[in-house]
Amino acid sequence: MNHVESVKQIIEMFQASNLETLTLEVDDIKLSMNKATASAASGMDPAQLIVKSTEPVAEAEGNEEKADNFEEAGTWVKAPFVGVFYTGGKENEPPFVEVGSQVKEGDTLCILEAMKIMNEIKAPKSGTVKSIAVDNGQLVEFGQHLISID
Amino acid sequence: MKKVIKKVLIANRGEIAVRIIRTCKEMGIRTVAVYSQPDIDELHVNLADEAICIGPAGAADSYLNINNIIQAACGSGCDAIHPGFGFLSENPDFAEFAQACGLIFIGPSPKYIRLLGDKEAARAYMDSIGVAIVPGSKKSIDSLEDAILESENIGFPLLIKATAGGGGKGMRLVEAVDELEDSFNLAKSEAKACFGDERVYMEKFIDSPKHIEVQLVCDNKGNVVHLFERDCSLQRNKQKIIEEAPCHFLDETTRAALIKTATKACKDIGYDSVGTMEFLVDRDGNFFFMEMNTRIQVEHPVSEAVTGVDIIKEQIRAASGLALSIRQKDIRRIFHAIECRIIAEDTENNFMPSPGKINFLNVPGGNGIRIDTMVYSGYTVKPFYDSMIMKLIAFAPTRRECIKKMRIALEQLIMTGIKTNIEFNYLLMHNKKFVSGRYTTKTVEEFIGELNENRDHI
Repeated sequence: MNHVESVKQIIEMFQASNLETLTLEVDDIKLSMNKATASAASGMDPAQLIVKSTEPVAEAEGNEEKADNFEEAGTWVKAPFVGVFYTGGKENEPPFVEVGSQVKEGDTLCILEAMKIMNEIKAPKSGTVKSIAVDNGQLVEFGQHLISID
Repeated sequence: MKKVIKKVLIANRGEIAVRIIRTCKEMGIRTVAVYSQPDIDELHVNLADEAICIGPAGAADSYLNINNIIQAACGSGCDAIHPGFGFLSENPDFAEFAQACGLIFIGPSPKYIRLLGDKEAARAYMDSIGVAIVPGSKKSIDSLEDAILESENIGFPLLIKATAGGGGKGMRLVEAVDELEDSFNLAKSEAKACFGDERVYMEKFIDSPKHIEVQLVCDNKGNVVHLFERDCSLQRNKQKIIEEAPCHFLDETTRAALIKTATKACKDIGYDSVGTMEFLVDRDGNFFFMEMNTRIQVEHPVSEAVTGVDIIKEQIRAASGLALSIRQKDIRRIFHAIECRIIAEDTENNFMPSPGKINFLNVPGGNGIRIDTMVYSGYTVKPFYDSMIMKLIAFAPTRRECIKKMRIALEQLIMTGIKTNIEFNYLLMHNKKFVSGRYTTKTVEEFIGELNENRDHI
C-alpha cells in the first residue's frame, strides 16, 4: 500500500477515535495530529501533517488509479499492440470467456484486431478469469490491461 | 480533391509534437498524441485531446511502430497523420500505407519522399534539370586513365570516395594531378579493406563550405512559395546547433540566384508540401545542391520569425487540398532571427547525453523571444530519445540586436539537474567568427579545439 493511502487511513482512524493527539513515526512517515476540543463538534479537526516520503507523492498519485485497480487481481494479460478488443470471434457469437470461466494455458481469451487482422490472444496460464477490464469494440493501447486470470 | 481535416494523430514526441498540437488547436482540429510507456508524463501527451500508448521505450517498438501508429489513427477516428521530423517522416512506405488506410499524410506525395530520399537519385535528378550539384564522376571509376580524365572535368582539390562507403570513411583528399595515381590505388585498396568493395568515385572537394538552405512551402495546386534562406553552418558532427536567417555572408545576387534555383527546382519536380533544399556554398559564393528534406525541419521557427508565416498551418491546409493562404509577393523579411538548440548533453565530457530530472527551470522571454520546448518544472529528460529539449529563438530588426537578445536570453535560461549546452551556445554567441558572419561548417570544430586548449582558464 502506498504512503498516501496509509496516511488517509490513519487520519480517518484518528478522527473517529477519542484520542486528542497522536504522534506517529513509522518507516519514513512522520505524523503529528491534534484535535482542538472546542471545534470537535463541528467536525473540523485541524491536522498537521509532516510526510517525508522517498517517493514523489505526485508520481504515486498518478499511478494510483491503475495500481489500485490491477494490483491484486491475478495475472493480467495486457495488449501487446494497439488494436480493437473483441470478446468473441464474430458478431453475434458468444464471448470466448466470461468472469468465472475456467481456462487452460493456450486457450483463446479474446480477439485483438489490428490492420484488419484478427489476432487471438491466448491465456498465459491455466486458471479462472477474474476480471475483464475493457469493453467489446474498444480501441486499446499498448500495455493496456485486458483480462486477468487467477 | 479536398478532404476536411478534423482530427490529426501526431506521430512524434517532444517539442515538435507540442508545436504541431498547438497549431491544430488554433485551427479547431482535434489532436491525438501517441506515446511510449516511459513518455506517459510528456507534455505532448497532456496537451492533446486524446493519447494512445503505442509501445515500450525503444523507438523501434513505439515511435517507429507503423502498425500501432496507423491502427491508433484509424481506431480513434483521425483524418490525418502529421509525422513531424525524424522517426517516420521520411519513410515513403509509411506515407503510402497511411494513405492506403484512408488517412491523409501531412507531407508531400510519397513519390517525392522516395525520389528525394535517395541521395544519389536526388543528385542525378537535380543534375538532369540543370541544378548545380557538387561536381563528381557519375559512376564508379575503374581505371587510372578514367580517373585522370574525370579529374580534368572535376578539377582539384578533389575527394576519392568509396562507392560503398559512408560515415566519412574511405575518403582521400587529392590536391593535384601528380598525387592522383598513388591516391587512386590506395583508395581502392582501402575501400576493399573497409567495405569489401573496391569501387571508388570522385567528387570536388569544397573546403570549409557554408551550409545554406531554402525553406519552401508548396501545395498540390502548383503554388510554390519560398521563405528565404537559412544559414545552418554551425554544426558539430553534421548536427546543427545554431541556425540564423538571413545569411549575413551572402550578397543579394547570390541569394537571389540560390533562391531562384530552389523554387524553380520545386516547380519542376511538382513538389506539393513543405520542404527544404540544402546547398553547400564555397568561399567564392558558388553553390551546389546537397540534398532536399521532404518534411518540416527543426529550424523552421527561424523562417517563421523572419516572415511571420505559420509553416505548419500552411502545411496542414495544403494537405487538405486547399491552396496556400500566402502569396510570394506578400512575403517580406521582417526580422533577423537566430535559433539556439538547447541539448541535454555534457559539453565538457565528449558531449555525452545527460538525461535526468530538471529540478529548477527558468525560461527567458520578452520582446523578440520564442521558446519551443516540452520541458516543464519537474520534467524528466528520458534517455531513450534525441537529447534536444528546447529551441530558443531570438528575433529583432537587425542582426546585432538579435545577437544581443540571444545572449541575454541564454543568461536567463536556467536548468538545473541535468547538463546542457546553454553555456556552449552562450560562448558561441560571443565567438568572433560567428559575430562576423563569416563562419563555416568547420567553425564549431575549431571552437571546440580552442575550448579544450583553454579549459583551465574558462
